[in-house]
This record gives sequence, structure tokens and C-alpha cells, in this order.
Amino acid sequence: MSANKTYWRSLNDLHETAEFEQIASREFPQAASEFPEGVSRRKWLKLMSSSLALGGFAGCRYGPDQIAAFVVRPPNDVAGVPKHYATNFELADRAVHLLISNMDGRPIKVEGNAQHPIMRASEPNELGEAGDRSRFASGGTDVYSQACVLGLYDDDRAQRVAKRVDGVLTESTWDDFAAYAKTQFEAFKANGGESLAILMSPSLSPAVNRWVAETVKTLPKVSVAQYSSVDKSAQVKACAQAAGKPAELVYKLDAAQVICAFDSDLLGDDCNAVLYSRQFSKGRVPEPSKMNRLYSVESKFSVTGAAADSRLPVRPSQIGAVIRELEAKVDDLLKGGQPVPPVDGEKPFDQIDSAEKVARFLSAMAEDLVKHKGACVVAVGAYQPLDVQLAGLRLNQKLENFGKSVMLMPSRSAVEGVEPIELTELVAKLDSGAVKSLWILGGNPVYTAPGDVALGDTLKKVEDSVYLAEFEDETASVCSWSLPLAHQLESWGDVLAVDGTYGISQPQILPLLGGRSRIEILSMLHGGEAGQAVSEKLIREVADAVAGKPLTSRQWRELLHSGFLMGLKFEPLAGPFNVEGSAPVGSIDLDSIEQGSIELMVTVGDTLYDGRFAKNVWLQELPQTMTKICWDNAAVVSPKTADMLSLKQGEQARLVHGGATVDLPVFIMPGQANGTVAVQMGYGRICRDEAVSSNAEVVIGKDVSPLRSFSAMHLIRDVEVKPLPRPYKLATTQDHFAIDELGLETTKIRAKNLVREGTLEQIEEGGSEFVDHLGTHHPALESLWKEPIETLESDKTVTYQWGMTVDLNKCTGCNACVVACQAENNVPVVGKEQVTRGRELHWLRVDRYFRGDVDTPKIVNQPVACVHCETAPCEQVCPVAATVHTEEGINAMAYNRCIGTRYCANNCPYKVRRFNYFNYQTEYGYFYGWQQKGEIEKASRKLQQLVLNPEVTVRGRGVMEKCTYCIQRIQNGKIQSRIEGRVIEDGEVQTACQAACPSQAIVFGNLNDPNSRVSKIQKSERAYEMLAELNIKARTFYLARVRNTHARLKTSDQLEPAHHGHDAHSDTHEESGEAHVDHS
Amino acid sequence: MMPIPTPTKNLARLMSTIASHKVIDNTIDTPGRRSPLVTGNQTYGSLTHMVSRISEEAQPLAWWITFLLAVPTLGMFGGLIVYLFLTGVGVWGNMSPVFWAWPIVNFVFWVGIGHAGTLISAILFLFRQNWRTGINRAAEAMTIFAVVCAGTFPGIHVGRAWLAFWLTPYPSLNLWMWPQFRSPLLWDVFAVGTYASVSLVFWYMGMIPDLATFRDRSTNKFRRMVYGILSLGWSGSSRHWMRYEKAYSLLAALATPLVLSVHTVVSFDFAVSQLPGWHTTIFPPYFVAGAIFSGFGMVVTLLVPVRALYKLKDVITLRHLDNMNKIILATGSLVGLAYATEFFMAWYSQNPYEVFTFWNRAFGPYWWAYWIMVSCNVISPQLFWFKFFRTNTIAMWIVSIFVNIGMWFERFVITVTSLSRDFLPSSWGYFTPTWVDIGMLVGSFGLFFTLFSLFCRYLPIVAMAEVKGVMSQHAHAEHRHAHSHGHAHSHGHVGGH
Repeated sequence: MSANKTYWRSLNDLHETAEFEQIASREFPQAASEFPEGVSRRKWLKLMSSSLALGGFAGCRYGPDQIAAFVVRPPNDVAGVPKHYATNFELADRAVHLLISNMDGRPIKVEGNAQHPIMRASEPNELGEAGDRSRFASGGTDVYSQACVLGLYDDDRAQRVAKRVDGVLTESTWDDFAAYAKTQFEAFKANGGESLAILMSPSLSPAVNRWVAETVKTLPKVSVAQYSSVDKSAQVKACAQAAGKPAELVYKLDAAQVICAFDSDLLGDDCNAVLYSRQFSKGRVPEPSKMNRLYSVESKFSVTGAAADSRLPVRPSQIGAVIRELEAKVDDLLKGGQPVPPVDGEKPFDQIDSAEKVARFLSAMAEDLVKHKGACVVAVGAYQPLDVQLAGLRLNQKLENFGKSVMLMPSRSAVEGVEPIELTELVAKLDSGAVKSLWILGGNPVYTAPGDVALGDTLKKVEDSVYLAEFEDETASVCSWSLPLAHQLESWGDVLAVDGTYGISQPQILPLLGGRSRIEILSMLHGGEAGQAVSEKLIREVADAVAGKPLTSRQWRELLHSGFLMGLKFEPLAGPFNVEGSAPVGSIDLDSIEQGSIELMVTVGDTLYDGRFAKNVWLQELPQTMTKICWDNAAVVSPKTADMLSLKQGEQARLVHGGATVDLPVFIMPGQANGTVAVQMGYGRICRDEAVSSNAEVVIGKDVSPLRSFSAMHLIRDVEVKPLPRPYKLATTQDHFAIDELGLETTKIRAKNLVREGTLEQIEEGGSEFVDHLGTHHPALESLWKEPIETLESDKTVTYQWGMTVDLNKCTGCNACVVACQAENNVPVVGKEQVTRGRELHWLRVDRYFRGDVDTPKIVNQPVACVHCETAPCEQVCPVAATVHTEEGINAMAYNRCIGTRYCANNCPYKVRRFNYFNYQTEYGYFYGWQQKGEIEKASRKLQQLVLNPEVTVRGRGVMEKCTYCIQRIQNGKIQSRIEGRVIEDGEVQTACQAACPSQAIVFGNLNDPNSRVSKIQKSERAYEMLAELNIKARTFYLARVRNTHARLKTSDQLEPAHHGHDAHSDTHEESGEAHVDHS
Repeated sequence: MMPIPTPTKNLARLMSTIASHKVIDNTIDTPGRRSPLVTGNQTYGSLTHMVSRISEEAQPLAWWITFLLAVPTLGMFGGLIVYLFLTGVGVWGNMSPVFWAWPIVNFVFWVGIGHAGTLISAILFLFRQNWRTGINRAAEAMTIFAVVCAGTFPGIHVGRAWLAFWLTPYPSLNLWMWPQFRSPLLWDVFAVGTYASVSLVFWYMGMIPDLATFRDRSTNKFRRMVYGILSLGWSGSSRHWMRYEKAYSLLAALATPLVLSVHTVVSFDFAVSQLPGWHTTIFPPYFVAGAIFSGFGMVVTLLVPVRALYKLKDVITLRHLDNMNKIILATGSLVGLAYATEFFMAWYSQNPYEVFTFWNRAFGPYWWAYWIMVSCNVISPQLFWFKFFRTNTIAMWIVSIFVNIGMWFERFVITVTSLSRDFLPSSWGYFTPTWVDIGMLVGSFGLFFTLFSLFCRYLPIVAMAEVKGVMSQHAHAEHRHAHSHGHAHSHGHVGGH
């Protein structure tokens, strides 16, 4: 426990005291005596929670009045048939609009709500040419939404109302707290709320904001502090200045031909990334005049950078200078200047020095922006300072984008009549004693607060502090009351969509662990009641207020059904806006790397956000989008920076800034701006280690808060980075960059063939000849015998032949599909140690390859799951026929028959087969986990198992598994269509990955139907079969990626002539029927 | 049978002592005269005594050391298997993409070693290579034990070992299905199973006359009873000998193709897959050559100390060792040729995956394994071009150890390096063994040496009856006529006369 000392200091101290042991042993005498002395905190928690966890099972029910056996089946409830409920809530600072699959009273899967107005408004244009478009509609989600169902069943969640007694958190009750709240409220009323402060993060929930406003009305002297771990204050300020009132910036990427992102990860960590990905993918149709162009100027290689047509790595402090230069160039062009025309014989972009790269990049961007005036977007990342934000807005105004592709919308988080104070101000008030009571509405501020704000120390001195959160975390350990927050799937709530549409959140299940929502707590603050019925009433009141009239019960049911109130939207604010500001200063120098003035960029975690998902093991094990690291955060540096600072992959680096020191493992990533270090926040928290060796807790990654300061939360300058020659093993799901020359060279050559990529011009010139050209030279593909299975060529006696396509032009590599697959198919988590052994079980992975030069590389992503080969190599070598072909062309696994020879996995060229080396899904560990089979462990496991999809077999140890094309969904579709006496319609069955994909890159369907979308796409010019030369006839096809790169920014590989080497071979090709050849 | 009269016993002992002083270089071939296969003026009686006394007298210290090291190692092996069953195959280091690693390497390694015995007893028998008689018993025993070691691994390697019997085609009413006959793994089950059973029968059958000798020499009831049961009532009658020889020839004829087939089928495990580095037509002959190579390597490793320890130099002569070393040289060079051919084919095919796989073997992250393999398997046996190395027991023992190491690495290189980098670079990986991997490799040697020590202790190490058939004409002029027919079991040398 020593490593956890600071985090759980109080609890540590606590469980060593005699009283605590006494309490525990009195309550659970038998179980308590099972544990030896010196047990971990976790075991104690489990000890105490066992009755709650078991009690929680009673929560998996339809309603209090239906607890009796279903002698008479409740109407519309068919056991085993999932029901879908629309809901909306705030998750990781964003509004999510979801459909929840509720299986026998427990939510198990999340999909995007395709009917939501913002989803409808961004539907891809080529959907469903014939018939009902809604068949193909899918909302798409992000990783956080996909993973939120796991959080619901987390037995680590706070399971008790806890009160500090003599410095120790002791179990209490809601009634106790209600009484406390009532007395407190009386006291507040007496002093007008002067002694009270509320700390919250900006909320998108009208109900929460309404209650806060109500509080201010009742207690006019109350202090409301807003603090967000992700600092967007510069952008908020810039928008407020521009609009003259609180506003937020929303882009309409489908209305933009040119998108310039400046340190802005629009498609990645942006709160509207799902919407933006949908809009962006609409513009990725590789046809001239239709296809958009994305520029990315950024320091950290982001999802947006990988999706960009051209990318320039620039350190964060120089982004401003780039925008300033760009503005100058745009001004010049707007005044009638002429763009620099491409010169014949000009060197390709990757062969020029960095100064020229910048110059060309700027002139190309300026040219494109001006050419597409009114149809372009200049997006500046939220971390950039105010002057850069204003410069971005100014450019948009000059380019007449406002109201067309860029919009300022009324702020959703602004609270009427409330002037929130900053966190530092709050701390000062607490320290001075002006505020005596603090109510914290979630957010774990003690952990997320920057290094120079000693919130934890201050809170310890505060006598009355109430903390509502999902976990008994760092903040809980210093507060006097710790209240369990209900999961959003357990509580009533509401949220405003980015377009202002009001959506409500309805509970899918009664609170498993007795938690309550923010609204209930705010109501209790006013001495009010709490409970499901109360919060429903409260939400309905807000809905009435938003609708402007009381909703009839029919309208209320409609709202519950669709999840949103139709027709109520924000109008974009009208310009012109006040975007004046000083021009950003500084110069551009891409190569300077100077010790002591290294820039650190702290971004939100790809998977953990600000650490709030640290206990979600799906997200912990989800590979970070670009580095493919899981279970850790690392100091990401460019190869040049690493050289200069003598940093080595596999070792650590010591980051020193302002007296704080953080040691992080080094990860060398080409494309990271020189002289910068990128690191993800949200780590350094305790998480369950799913490793085989133990079920103990470990600290995952490093907390970088000490390096952050209130004034520089994300972009920290003048950091010293020293090599720390201490080995550190990072768990990555793809090989580190630091591999041998031979491997690197081969990867480069192969990646071209595996992930085929061309330019828009190549498509224009020769169709998609480049797609075939990039393939491998191979003889005619002939089978020596008739395949004993159903293939597409064989007689079409079977109605369905399933197939899939993945459009690499649309895929951004956001990972949503990976988590969706995990959730749908009961894919277990294996833990860091097992990932380092290459034993992760994700059925779907996103492969990442680098392309081009080391300084300005490009990244290509490729989602890979089982491609369901018609002549599957795995099937031929299984000695017990455990993997076989269905007549519908699915390569199926019979888990019961599998004995685990693993031969199939060896013979799979795509390496998509996954093996259960241990009993990952249940207890595992030494000797089959016998040492963990205590009653409490079993109870916890049972709680966690509630998330499992009952339609998918849970695999035990020693069994091979892999993607099944979501065969359970196909089966459901077949049953439904059979009942209705028809065939499955195109688009009716969607795989989990397809449904989760925000950019709709994945299409699944019946290849036997020539009119199905998948058939048409597979016949497209861009379609190719990965490793076609093996003649295994994959059913999943990829669509080649097309980059719409500006002529002057083309790299040497993009300029290679498409016809290279073809003519010489053309005769032989025709004779032998060979596939296309390329020697490159 | 009559107990041996004491004077005869003493005489035999005396003669064997005299013989050890007389150095006869039987590694030289003189035209017109066959070099003796048994040296030291041995008589039938002295030979019988020389071999039988091993199991009758107290064991030398070296035996006790070997045995007492081997048994705990075997115990550890057993313990690790229990641990494996109770925990999961994840205790090994194998992973994605290297789904097969040390257990399979060990399997192929031991199966390969299991080749020499049957080759010596069956093929050399059919080719009338009389020198085989001195070494065939020990080599066959080695074969059986190696196959036992080999058989252990695939059985415990599968993820659900308790269901490994599904690999056998048994009629099951519940399941209503057969195994999948297209899978090489299934062929493997049959091939190794057949080989193990035929080798065992062959070994045991060949041992019956010698077991009868042991029985006859037994001085206590218990021994007599046990050997009596084991010798199946052998009396040494002409009828017995006639049937014995017929059966022996038939079994030899049956075992001969098996020698070739078993490793061919084992190689199919790899060759039938489509993995670059595995999918090659050269594998069957290459694997068989390698197996013979490693088998002879192990025979030399075992017999050099055994002949010194049990003073069997007159039966397992330098000529025997010289011949084996020549075979090691030949097969080692064949294996080297196979390595070169693989590279040539990779280049000649211009299959980019194939080309990369072989470059990666030699110069990729596992280069060290490749070069250990080449140095041990191809370079070290070249010393056997020189007679000094072929006839110097210490030198050949060292080389044979190298051969064993090299052949283990050959299987490692084939299995692990090919798997670690196949088609998609995104899925490449680097395999590192766990302590269980290492423990099980060591443990399998524990199993092997436990069995081999017990064999030395309780069973005739040398096929006495067969050796007598090829004993020097010089010493047994009266047998010249029979000997010219190649072998002479019909003398009925039973007992210690």
C-alpha cells in the first residue's frame, strides 16, 4: 500500500486503527475473519460493500411493484428481448444522445440516437439510395459513451453515505445527511448563504443550472465556483468578447470545403467530436469539388492530424505566429494578391527544409481559405491563449464563415444571474474563513486541481464539506461528507445538445449502490426531498419550463420515447462579432530543441479524459489512438527531441517545472513537434489491476497535475526534460517505433500495400488504378480444388452472404468501434501485464502505420477484425473442427468444441484471433484463482458480470475467440424477418462497430443482394482486399484512402506516377490473368 | 538354467580386464579383413557378464548423481504441469502472434531425438549394418524416452488439456462428429502415436532374449520373477529364435517407413500452414535429416559417458562412435544445405513475405538464435571431417552437445521467429519465455534422464544376443560360416555359458 499512501492516506490510517477493524469485524464477523491481517483497502471496501453489492441485485428490476415472479408477464416485457430507451446526459463535459439496450432490466449496450436532431442534420448523404434512409441511420458514439455501461457495474463505486467522525469516514445514511442538510440550510438562510460555496464544473444540464440559479436566488450571498479540469477559459473568453455574452463556438464541417485546425483535435478530443466526425466524413467523398481538405497544424499527433490531408508539426507556443502569418497572407489575397502558383520541378514537400515547409504550408492554406470564402473553417484549439483564439475568430470573420460553417451559439453552461468565481478565489475564501461550508458537485477537484492550487490541504481545514461523486476518491478523503453519485444510467437528468435541443435522461435501472443525482442533492441543499419520484418531478418541471408550457402526459411520454423535445433549438448568434485583439507574437522555428525551454502539452487522456474514467478497465485497456499505449501515460517526444535530450524508448524521462518533478516513461513518436513533450492527464490514480498475478490495486500511470498551474493548465513552457536511465515497460498493442532497421523498412513497404492510399488527382486521372497498383505481384489466384464451402461464386442457394467494407477515407481511428465491440461481445480485459505479453483480447483493433519522412510523417489507420475469408486458413488446420464456415459465409467459432491448440491463430495472416490464456472473464490467477474465491469476491464479480451481453457466449480459459460479424445481431435480424415473412432488408442488421462508428466508415450487409450497399461498395474502384495474394477471399474489403493534398504540399510518395512499371508488364497480365503488378 | 559356476565367472572377469588393456584400433579398415565390432578378445560369456553385471552390481557414483538430479527435476516437471493445469496456459510466455513457443519447440526437439533409435535398429538392420548391434538397445531406449518427453508437450499445450482426447477419432454419440481430418495436428497424433507404439514394441521385443539372460542370471527370487514375466517365457529354442527373427525383420520393415513418416508429418504441422517460413516443401526431408542428426547427436551424448562408466568400450567401440560421427557429419551438412536452400528458394521465389522472413531470421531481432543454430548445427560437425575428432571421445561429446543445442535452436528459429513476424507488421511481437517455459524444458530432461537412468539400472544396455552374432571371427572361428550370412542369432546364446 505504500505506493498509494498519498492517495488514500486517510483511509490507510483508518484501516490501521483499532476502531475500524472493530467496526468491520462486528458487521461481518465471518467474512472479516477470512482475511489475514494487513489486508488492502480494497478488500475492506469489499467487505463493507458486500451487503450493498448483493442488495444491489434487487435493483435490477422492472420497478418496485413488479418484483414478484412474472406469473403474469408485464405488458411489453419479454424476457431475453432487449428494450431500447433513448436518453441524453452529460459525459466528459459533452452532451451524449444515446439509445440504451436494456436487457431484462439492466442496461448493457449503448448506441447513438440516430433520430436526434443533430444526428439527423449530419446524416451522410449517400445513405440508402433506395427506400427508407432511416434503415442505415446510425448515430455513432465516442469511446466514453460506449464504456459508460461498464462504469455502472463497477463495484469500486462509492457504495455508502459516509460522514467524517473524528477524522474518519464512517458509514452513515441518507436520512442522517438529510437531517444535516436541513440544519445547514437553516444556517445558510440566516446569513444569506454567505458561509456557503458550491463548487461545480460548468454544466450542460438546464436542471442543474436552474437549481444553482435557484440557490443564488434564495441565498443571494452564496459563492458559486466553476472549475473544469479541462481549461477552455481562453476560448470561452474569446467567444464572450466576440458575442458580447456567453457563447460557444460550433463548427459545421459539412458546410466547409477547407478546414484548418490549429492545435485543435476536432475529430478526437473535442467535445463535439462525434458530430464533427459525421460532418467531416460527409466531405470525404473522393470526387473533385465534393471532397473537403483538412489542414492540421498541431504539436501532438492527434486524430485530426492523422485524418488531415496535410499536417505541420508546430510547437504550441508558435501556433499563434502561424495564425498571424496566415492572417497576413489571407489579408493580402483578399486585397487582390495572387497565390503562389506551383512551379514545375519543385521539390516534393518532404524534401525541403522546415522554413520552406512553413512557407508553402501557409501559402497553400491561405490560397485554399480565400478560394473557399464562406465555406471554410479555422479552428483553434481550446488550450491556445486568448490572442490566438481571437485571431482564429478574426480569420473566420474575414473569410465570412460565421453563420455558414462556423457558428457562435448561446452558451449552454452559463447560469442566469450567476457570476461564477474561479477556483483560486474559492480557495482564498475558504482559507480566509469567509466560506465555511462547501458543497462539491462531483469532478474530483482535489485530484484534477493544478499543482499550485492546494485545494486538498484547504479542504482538510474546512469543517463542513459535502462531496457528491461516483467514487470515494481523493476529494472524498478530505471532505466531511462523501455522498454516492448515481450513475447517469440510474438517474433522472437532462442536457442541452450542441444545437440547443433539450434532451432528458431517464433511469434505466434503480440506483444499484444507493446513489443520488446532482439535482437531488441540490434539492436537499434546499431542505427538499430526494428520490426517483422526486427527481422525475423536478426534471418534468424543467422540461415544462423549457417547452414553455406544461407538457401533457402524452407529450411527456413522447419526450421519454424520443429523448428530446423537437423543434426547440438555439439560433446561431448573428454577427458581426467583436473579434479585435492583439496579434499573436513570436516566430516560427520548427527545429529548435533547447533544454530548459521544452514545451509540455498536457492533453485530456484519449481514454481516461481527466481521470474520471480511471476505474473503467475497458478504457484503461483501450489503446491510445496514436501511440497505442494502454494502462499508462507517457512523455511523447519526437525522434529528434529524443536524440537531443538523450531520451530512450523503454526508459524514463524526468520532467521538471516550477519546482515540481514528474517521472514518465518515454515514448518516441514521429510527428510530434520538435522541442515539445505531450502527455495525457488522468493517470496516477488507483485502478484495479486485472493482471494474472493478483487482483490488487496499482497506480496506473503518473499524475501530471504537479506540473500544471492554474494559469498554465495545458500548455506549460520552459520545462526541463532529463533522461532517467531507468527501464520502464510500456504496454502497447502495436510494436514500438524503436524496432530494428530491417523491420522498419519492411513495415514501410508493407504498409503501402496493406493501407492503400492515393491522391484525389490520381482518382481523377486513372480511376483508382493506384489501388491495384499498390498490391503485391503474384501469380494468378486459382484454387487447386473446389472449395467445400459456400462462396460467392458457388450456386446462390443461400439467401445471405455477409460481407463488410471499411472506408479508410472516412475512418479517423477514434477507437469507438473497439469499445463497442468489447461491450457487445463480452470481450474481457486482460490487464497491463498481459498486454505487454501481447494477449489483449480486442476482437477489433485499429492498426496504425507511419508514412513519409520522420519529420513530417503521415499516419494511416486501419481497423482490422476477422475478415471472414471464404477459404479461411484457420478452418483447415483446426484438428477438432472448432472453427468452421457457416453457409452464410461467416467464419464461426464453436467455443464448446475448441480445445485451444492455437494452430488457427498461427495460420491467420491477419492475426485477428484472440486466445484466452487464462479465465479472464471470471476469477483467475495462480491455481485458477482459488485464493480469491471468497464470498465477497464472488459478489463483486457477479455485479461486474451484469454488464455481459446474454446473447453472446462468455468464453472460458483455453478457448480461441474472434470477431463473428456480431452473429447474434444477424440471428436476431433473421428471427425478426422470419416472423414477418420477409428477408432481412439492407441496413437492418448493423454490427456493433458499424453502429458505433461516428464517421460511418463501416458498412455491413448481404453480398448476395447486388443492390445492397455493401455489394455496391465492394465493387467500387477504391475497394481492395487486404492480402488478396493469399487467395483466401476475404469478405471484408477496405476502401483505399484518398488524400486531397494541395499541389504544393504533395510528398514524394504522392507524386509517384501511378503508371509506374505497368506498361512493360501489361501483356503478361492479360495472358495470365494476373492481378496488377507493382514493383515499388 | 544352471547358476553360473564361479570359475567361469572369474575367468570372464579376468578376460574382460585383459581386454581393456589391449588396444585394438578397429576404426581402420583393412582390405580383406573386417575390423572387429567387439574388441578385447571377448567371449560370449565375458560379454554376457560385462553387460549383465551392470544391473546386478551396485551402481557407480555417477549413476547416483544423475539419478538423484533427474528425479527432483522430474518432480518439478510434474509440479509445473499441475500448476499449468490449475492456472492456465498463460503461465507460458506464448502470446499473440507467437501462439506456439517453447512447448512446441520442445516437442519437435524431443521427437527429433527419438529418431536415431529406430533408425539404428530398423533401417541399419535392413541395410545389414552390423555395427548397429552395439548401440541399438540404448538408442532405442533413448527413442522411447524421447518420445515420452515429446508426447507430454502437445498434450499439455492445448488450452483445455482435459479435452485433449477430442483429437482422437472415437465414436461419440453425444457429439456425433469426428475430428477434422484436414488438420496436420491430427495427422501428428496418428504419426507420433504409431511411432511410439511401434518403437516400444520393437524395443521390447528385441530385448526379450536379453531379459531372459537377466532372468537366468538372477540370484534372487524377485528379480527372477520380474525378468521372468518380462521375458515372456523365452527359452532360446530354435523355434523361438526363428519366430523372433521373423518378427524382428517384420517390425524393422514396419518401423522403417515410420522413421521417415513421423518427422515428415511433424514437419507438416508447419509446412501445411501458410505462414512464411513454415510453408515450404523442403520441410519433410529437411526435418527428417535434422531428426537423424539430432538423434545421433543425443546417442553420442549418452553413450560416450555410458561406455566409460560401465566399461563397455569393447562393445561400444571407437568404430561405433566413429560411424555415428560420420552420420552426424553427413546429416549436419544436409541440414546446412537445407538452410541454404531455404534462402535460395526465398530469393528465387521473389515472394516478399518469404524473402523477409529469412532475412529476418538471420538479421532480425532473433539473429542470435539463428547464428547459434548455424554454428552448432552446420559448423561444429565439420570437425568430424578429421579423424581425431571422430575418435576422441571428449571432443565428440562436446560436439554432440553442440548438436543438441543447435537442434533445439533450429526448432526455436523455425517456430518462434517465423511466427513473431508474419504478414501484418502491426501484429508483430517479440516472444520472451517465462520461468515456467524454462522449468518445463529442464523438467523434460528430468523425465528423460530419470527414465534413462532406470533403464541403465534395470535393463540390458547392450543387445547381447545381437552383439554375439557379430562378434569377431578371430575370437569365434567356429562361427565364421554363420557370420558370413550377416548375422547369426541362431546360435541360441542363452544364459552365461
